[in-house]
Amino acid sequence: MSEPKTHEPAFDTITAEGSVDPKPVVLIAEFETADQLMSAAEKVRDEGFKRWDCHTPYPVHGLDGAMGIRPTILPWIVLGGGFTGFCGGLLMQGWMNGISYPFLISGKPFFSIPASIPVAFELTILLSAFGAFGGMLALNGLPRMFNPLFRSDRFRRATADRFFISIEARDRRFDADSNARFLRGIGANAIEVIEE
Amino acid sequence: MGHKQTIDLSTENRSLGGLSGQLIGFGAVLAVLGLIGTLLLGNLEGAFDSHSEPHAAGGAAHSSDPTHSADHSADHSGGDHGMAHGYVSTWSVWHPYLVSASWLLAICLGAIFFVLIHHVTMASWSTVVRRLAEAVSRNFVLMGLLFIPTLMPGQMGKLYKWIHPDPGDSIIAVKEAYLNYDFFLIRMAIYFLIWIGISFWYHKNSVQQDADGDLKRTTRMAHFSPLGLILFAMSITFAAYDILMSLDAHWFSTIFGVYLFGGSVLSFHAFLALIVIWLQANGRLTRAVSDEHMQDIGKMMFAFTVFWAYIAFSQYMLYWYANIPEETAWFLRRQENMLWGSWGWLLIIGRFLIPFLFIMSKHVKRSRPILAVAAIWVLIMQWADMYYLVMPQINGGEEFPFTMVDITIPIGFLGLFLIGLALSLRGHSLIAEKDPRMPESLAFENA
Repeated sequence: MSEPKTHEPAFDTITAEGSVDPKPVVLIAEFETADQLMSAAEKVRDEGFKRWDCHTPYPVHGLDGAMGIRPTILPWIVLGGGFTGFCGGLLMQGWMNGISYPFLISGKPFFSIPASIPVAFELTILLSAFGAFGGMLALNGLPRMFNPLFRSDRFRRATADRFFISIEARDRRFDADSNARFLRGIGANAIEVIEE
Repeated sequence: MGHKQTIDLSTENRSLGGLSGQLIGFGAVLAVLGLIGTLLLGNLEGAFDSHSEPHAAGGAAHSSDPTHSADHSADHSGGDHGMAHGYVSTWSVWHPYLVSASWLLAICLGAIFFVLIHHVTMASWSTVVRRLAEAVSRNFVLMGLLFIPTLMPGQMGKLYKWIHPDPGDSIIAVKEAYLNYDFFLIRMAIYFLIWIGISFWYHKNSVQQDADGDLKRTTRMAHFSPLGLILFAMSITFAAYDILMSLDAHWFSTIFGVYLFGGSVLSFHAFLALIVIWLQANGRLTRAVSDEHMQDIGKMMFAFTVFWAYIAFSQYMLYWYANIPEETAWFLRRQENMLWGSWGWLLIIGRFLIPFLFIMSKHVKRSRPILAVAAIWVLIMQWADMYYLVMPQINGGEEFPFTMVDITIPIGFLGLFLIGLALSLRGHSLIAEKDPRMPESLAFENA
């Protein structure tokens, strides 16, 4: 996409050092305020982009809706974890105390529900927490040691006072020139394309 | 965050206005229905006859009760009497009365806790509904009035066996320094003084802030709240011991106050959800209290459903495991026969499992009609829980003491409660107008 332009380029290009055949991997657009980002995100969503994201210094309420992100399935993973923990806890104790190694303690039944609840409860909590933590990491594609976005110095301000939209080159609608013009048109004050 | 405009409170309809008459009217209808129903059905069932037994077995239970509960209390009684009971032996209309009074008292206790915890944590999500909680907590006056009849010596004697213990009942004898009529009255007076004092003081300061906007009031209310919470914790614990646990004076459970507390906070949030839904259906506070606030009220209902179950199970498991006769007696009465055993399952399933699974979803919490169904269910279950604490004491739980007054008395009390609520809600804003955290609360969103 780095063919020579006759007009002034609408974006800066950052190329990874030592790259043999540089190709764009991601395009970032910088916005001044959260409001601009919100309205831009709505337009990017309506334009039909799929592989894109927003980067803000703090949580912006309502951005999920503006981006058209579907509700996460994480709660179902947590529920599954909790259910597995509860049933697994009961089964484990039933097998251990009732079948594998029955041991009479003060006349109590070998296996009984009241005595088994605490362990089943704790396992419910434990596996729910594992489901929440591991599920969150997996759904976010984490851990990830490096992101091409880090090549941009401008992008560092996403942790301080600027708002960014990034569009990945994998998106079907990705085209550096037309995307840059489009993002300029909806309020971006700087565009960069990162090549690797 | 500039993208979302904070709601302009001045455009909200935020006074009760004509609704107060409607609420008082509805409350009056319920109260009259309850009163007539209680008198009519109670008379039909012989509830008011001085010596009648609505259940034929009642009279016999005292002298010839052969059950386990009598057996091991005999072990401790030491005397030759051998039939000492720590529990009440016969049904009286004051039992359903106590069930219903405890049911509504729990809602008031939850309300006062809500106000105190709001100030102690400097919460902001709940600022929009705090005035409603303050109004509910003022119903402690009504609860005090409703409890007075149960404190008369005659009624006390019917409810609490420790007033006239069996001769040779050494278990009650050693508790006499605490469980005696005079001290009981003093304690009840202290509880209600604490509750009424806290609720009126917070309500007064909050309403006066509407007028003068004095920020010092917020600081003052926050500064008092830790002490208020300690007073609340002590009073609800001992009130639970006195009002409900001492029905069986042989039995004791240190967690009993927490058990009542869990149910109280749960049922208060259910009641709060119903008030908000009712107000919004009538065009009050329609935007000030948003889906986000409803979701948080729902979250509290969910959390305290689990908390109640946790406490209830903690109490049960320790006694089940230790298996000491004087501790298990209370539970034996409640699970050794079909009736109370089923009632126990009703609580496990109806008070824990069903709300747990039902309120879990975010969509349920954010939908007002569905949340209203959950809230009504939770309030019915709170009543069922109080029933389970009081009624199995009758005849050692040998029979099911259900009569129609079990339904008519709660209806009448609920009517009085709604009248009290209307009187507390009218005459000022439904929202803490000039609370400094109000803008934050109005803009509240779940992350």
